[in-house]
Amino acid sequence: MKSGSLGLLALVIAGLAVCSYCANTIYDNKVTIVPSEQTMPTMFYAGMDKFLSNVSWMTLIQWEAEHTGRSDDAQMQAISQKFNALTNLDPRFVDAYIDGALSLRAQRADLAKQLLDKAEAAGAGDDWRVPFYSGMLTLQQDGDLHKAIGELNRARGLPNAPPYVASEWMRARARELAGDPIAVMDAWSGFISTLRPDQTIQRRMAIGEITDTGQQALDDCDLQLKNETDSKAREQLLDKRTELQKRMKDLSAAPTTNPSSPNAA
Amino acid sequence: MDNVLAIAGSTYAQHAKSKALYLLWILLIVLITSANRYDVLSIGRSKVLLVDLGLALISLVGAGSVLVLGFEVPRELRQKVAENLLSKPVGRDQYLTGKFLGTVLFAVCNILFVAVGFAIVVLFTKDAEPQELIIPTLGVIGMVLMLAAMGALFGSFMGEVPAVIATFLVFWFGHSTQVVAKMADQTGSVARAVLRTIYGILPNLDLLNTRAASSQTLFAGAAPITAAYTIESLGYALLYTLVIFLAALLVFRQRDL
Repeated sequence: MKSGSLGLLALVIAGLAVCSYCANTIYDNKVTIVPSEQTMPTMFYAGMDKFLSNVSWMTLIQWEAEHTGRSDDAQMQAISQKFNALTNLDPRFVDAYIDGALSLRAQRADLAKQLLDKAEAAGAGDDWRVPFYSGMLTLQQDGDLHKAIGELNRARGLPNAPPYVASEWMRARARELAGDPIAVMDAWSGFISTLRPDQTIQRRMAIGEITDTGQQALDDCDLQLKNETDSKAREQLLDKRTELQKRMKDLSAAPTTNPSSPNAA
Repeated sequence: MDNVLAIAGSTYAQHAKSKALYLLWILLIVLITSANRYDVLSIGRSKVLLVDLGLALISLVGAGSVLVLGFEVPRELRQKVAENLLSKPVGRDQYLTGKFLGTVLFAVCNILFVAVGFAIVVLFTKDAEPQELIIPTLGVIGMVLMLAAMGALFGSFMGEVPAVIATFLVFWFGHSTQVVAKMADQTGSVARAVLRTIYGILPNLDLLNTRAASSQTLFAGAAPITAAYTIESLGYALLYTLVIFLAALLVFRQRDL
């Protein structure tokens, strides 16, 4: 080998060492921009994973349509596998996560939850639908109210979240406070105060919840008063009844619609 | 230098003279446009499909264009065409550099042809802003440079078919080398250092693949690929191309013709 070639060889070796350092630095930078690069399985499709996810999506829709009506465990496993494979191709494919979770929800809520957890891990949790359906599934699956409230609370704060997300969050909170009707009514009243003037449907629904809770609690009080003989306990029940009546009276005095809206009259 | 430019020019002209090629690129642009008709079948994802298809095809056009380098050098050596050139006062380095530059120019022109067509489609369908396609297209150009260098390296010591297959395999698996980095991150310190070094030496085309990330930024609210990242990944592509091309020159110098 000539001396010029030896110099070239040395240059190649040094260059490869520099390339190695650069590649590792750039890889770490890319992982900070696209975290799913590190957390999701590596695909071997020549970098065309994202395009193939669209093809896979269209195929999967056809497959789902062909197998409508089947709801046995094997079918649920197949749906789970197919949606997993699809979301490996595009880890931020929120429509696929939601469609998969809704398909699995009735028979295999655990698999549906796994799919939504994967969406969170892949960084797709910044779409309100992921924490919303995750919260609803948590409520359905194991009834962990605290966790579900956290998920629904996050969903209602995300961009483009429709008003019913906040209502569902409030409903879950009311379930958590179910033993204390006054606390439930206060929570709903607090919720009303956060609504925008144009959210009349949510306002009416919240008022309905307060009225129902109050009326139910009043009925319970009356029933207990009939059976209660201890004077101290009766006194407490009467105080509670007065408090409930006061809250319902306050509520009936409050406007139910936006006073500035044309429909207010 | 004149010799290099002459060889590069003739290589480019030789590849670019085919009219069928441009018809093929126009058909590709029509294919990209047709993605807009898949709105019902994809349940409202035709915009995503159009952008993803366009970017995937640009990448395929680039890769397909540089595969000819792996094919051409061994073919010219076999047919003794290169010997005629090399018997004149043209060095082996000049010959390979000219072939490399001509092929890269051919590939970049093809990429730009399809990319401009794609940008016009995007402009008319309003599925995205054409300037949002610049970063992934630059990534494809970086990938093409690296792939051309690999093609030159393989072409300098392999036969036509093995060189093309090897270049194609680099294109296919070069997008998945991050699997080695992931393995490295799951192991102990020594193994990690070794695997990370191996990862760094491999042609990491995935570092230049910003197509999925750009599409996710457009349609799924993902964090955008920054200009700084694009510049550093292109810098890496240039450096890697230079190193591999020097290796190709080294091998080509030693080869018995």
